[in-house]
Amino acid sequence: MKMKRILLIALAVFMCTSLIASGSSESKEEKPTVTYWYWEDIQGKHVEMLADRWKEYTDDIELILEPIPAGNFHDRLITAVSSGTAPDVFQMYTDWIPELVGLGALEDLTGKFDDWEYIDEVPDYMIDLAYAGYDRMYTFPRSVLTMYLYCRTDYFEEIGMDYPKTMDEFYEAAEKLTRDLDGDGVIDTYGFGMRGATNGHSMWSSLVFNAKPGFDYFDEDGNAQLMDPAIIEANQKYIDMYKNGWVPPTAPTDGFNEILQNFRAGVTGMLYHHVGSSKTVTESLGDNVVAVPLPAGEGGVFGVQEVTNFGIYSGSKNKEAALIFLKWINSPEIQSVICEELQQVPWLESVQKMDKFQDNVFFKASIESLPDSHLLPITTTMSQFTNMAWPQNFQRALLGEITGEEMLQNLNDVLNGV
Amino acid sequence: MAKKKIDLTPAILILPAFILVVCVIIYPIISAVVTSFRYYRLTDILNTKFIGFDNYIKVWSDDAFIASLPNTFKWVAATVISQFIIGLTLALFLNRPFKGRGIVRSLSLVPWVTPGVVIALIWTWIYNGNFGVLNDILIKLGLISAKIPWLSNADTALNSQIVTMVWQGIPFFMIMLLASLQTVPSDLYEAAVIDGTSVIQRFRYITWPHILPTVISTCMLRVIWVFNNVEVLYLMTQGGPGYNSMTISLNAYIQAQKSLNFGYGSAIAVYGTLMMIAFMILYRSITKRFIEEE
Repeated sequence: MKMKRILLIALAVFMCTSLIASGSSESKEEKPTVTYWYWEDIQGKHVEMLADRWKEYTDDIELILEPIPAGNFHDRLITAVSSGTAPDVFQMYTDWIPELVGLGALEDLTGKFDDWEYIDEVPDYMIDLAYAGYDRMYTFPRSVLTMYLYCRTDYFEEIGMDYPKTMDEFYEAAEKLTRDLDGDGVIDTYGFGMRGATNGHSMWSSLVFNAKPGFDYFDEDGNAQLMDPAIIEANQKYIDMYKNGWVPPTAPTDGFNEILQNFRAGVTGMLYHHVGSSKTVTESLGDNVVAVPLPAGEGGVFGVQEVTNFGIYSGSKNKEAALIFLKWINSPEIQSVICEELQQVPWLESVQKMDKFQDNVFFKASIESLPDSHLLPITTTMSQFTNMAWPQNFQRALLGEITGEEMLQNLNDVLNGV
Repeated sequence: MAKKKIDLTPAILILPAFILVVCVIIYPIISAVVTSFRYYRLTDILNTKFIGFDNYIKVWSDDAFIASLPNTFKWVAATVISQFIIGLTLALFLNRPFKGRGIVRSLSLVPWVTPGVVIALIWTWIYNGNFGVLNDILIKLGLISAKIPWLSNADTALNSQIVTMVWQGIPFFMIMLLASLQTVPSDLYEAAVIDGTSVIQRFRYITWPHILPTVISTCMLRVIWVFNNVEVLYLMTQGGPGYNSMTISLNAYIQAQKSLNFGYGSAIAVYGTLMMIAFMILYRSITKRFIEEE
């Protein structure tokens, strides 16, 4: 009886080991797989753009494209990293780098693009973005968007003004564009679409930080410097646009959808955004819209970039294949397709020079703005600043619950981690 | 002496449920409490450390938290009371036979089955200060002369969102109370009519005592749900403008999930939980006395 039981156990162990062995021998024959997580606004575009082109490029690596909703992409990624199930390659914002480096989730890519045939086409500022202040390169650039000003050509003709080149002209235009067209005592058009909700800090910094040459959020020692007299004055002027009624009364809680809708519907005459909205805007307004560089203050132009990067998961079992995919997706052929389809600014020199980008006023304005644009700081306090402190304090300043100076003091404290 | 045999069957049967409760409820609560005593930011994870009661002390100098206390009270009280009154009125109405009652009952469930995200987006556009249908209707009726930025105005932001939440929660009260009303024996009403009682007397002495247990449990559930609700407030105003529609739960959510400051967010969540526990103890003692009197 005992002998029979031992034999049965031995048989079971043998069968299990055989199964595992056969499984591993099969997997040796399998193609390596690269799973890529991305978010997209235009459903299905990534598959349409990439799937067939990848198959044409190589049949040796299987590519799995997994769209993740933008709203919870970050949470899904962090959860996947924590549970060791993150994808081989993923899209990410630059300001996620400290968090992902802290979690040990990013593969060190330093030197891994040295042999890439297009590396000389990558501008230095894009490489700097990939380093994000670290001494190792944990990401590779994916996309960049630069901000400019959309202006209603017909409205500017009606008020008899040129498009604003300076901040004084910008405020003058905002005032003149605020009009009661039918004389019923109700304002019909406003000067500018002010964004008071989350992420309005990009617009705010572009139109306030240009008051002083070389100004940025932090000084050379890494201390926030928002309490500068020139910034206090410029901030007050920006807040006064709301108090003067030159922006819609909904400005405190207006987000991107609201300011875009207001501009498309003719409620506002100027919109701060990037090439990503050019298709939507021109669909509504046709030739009645133009893109111009941001107005300059005493300190020149303070452009702002929105940057996304690629990361390779440090726990990936297919790092080599993932690297091949990254080099392919950043090649001129693929970058030109992605930029055209998803309305993003090309950053490889040969792609920037393509006629389809040079002949388009929105792309051209973006490409010309690239070298002067700032990346918002990547610090541990920035997520609190962007998601809570800025919208709350700015809205309170607009409503008169605190002064502009108190707003800046509060923001300064948050940035300094006080 | 024979050893007493211990029957492990009940323990084994209860074990799966116990493990589930530990994993899904007890562990997250303990984890949140432990996190609340730490400096724990995902953006600065290498500096995670134990900081004692610092998060709990810091909360009391946080303007957003201070502002969230009266807002939370107003948000929960106004929402639940309004939902209850309207829900009860509709339940009494739908308890009477009339043509098309089935259709009305089904349609009245629409707000309840609509996802909160959709509700928030629909109402955001209804309230939109530039294109919203609410302003158009009020202007056409001559009730206002200029458009009102409902969600951007400090005086109207929270109230507008309370209206949205009331609209969403009415069907819950209506259905629960309607089910309860249908258990009241009709012969009690018939006898009361013969005795010459008024409608108000019949409601007070027959209907109310019968539906009271349902009223108490539904109100308690709704208070918990409305207190914990963040989706409507976050999607419509993110607690703004300023702190004018900030509640305790929303503040905890934004601190933890958006600012990635899990330590501080957990401390706010623990305060919120303690407040809810205190409220529930008070509520239970009051309603217990109330039922006994009935």
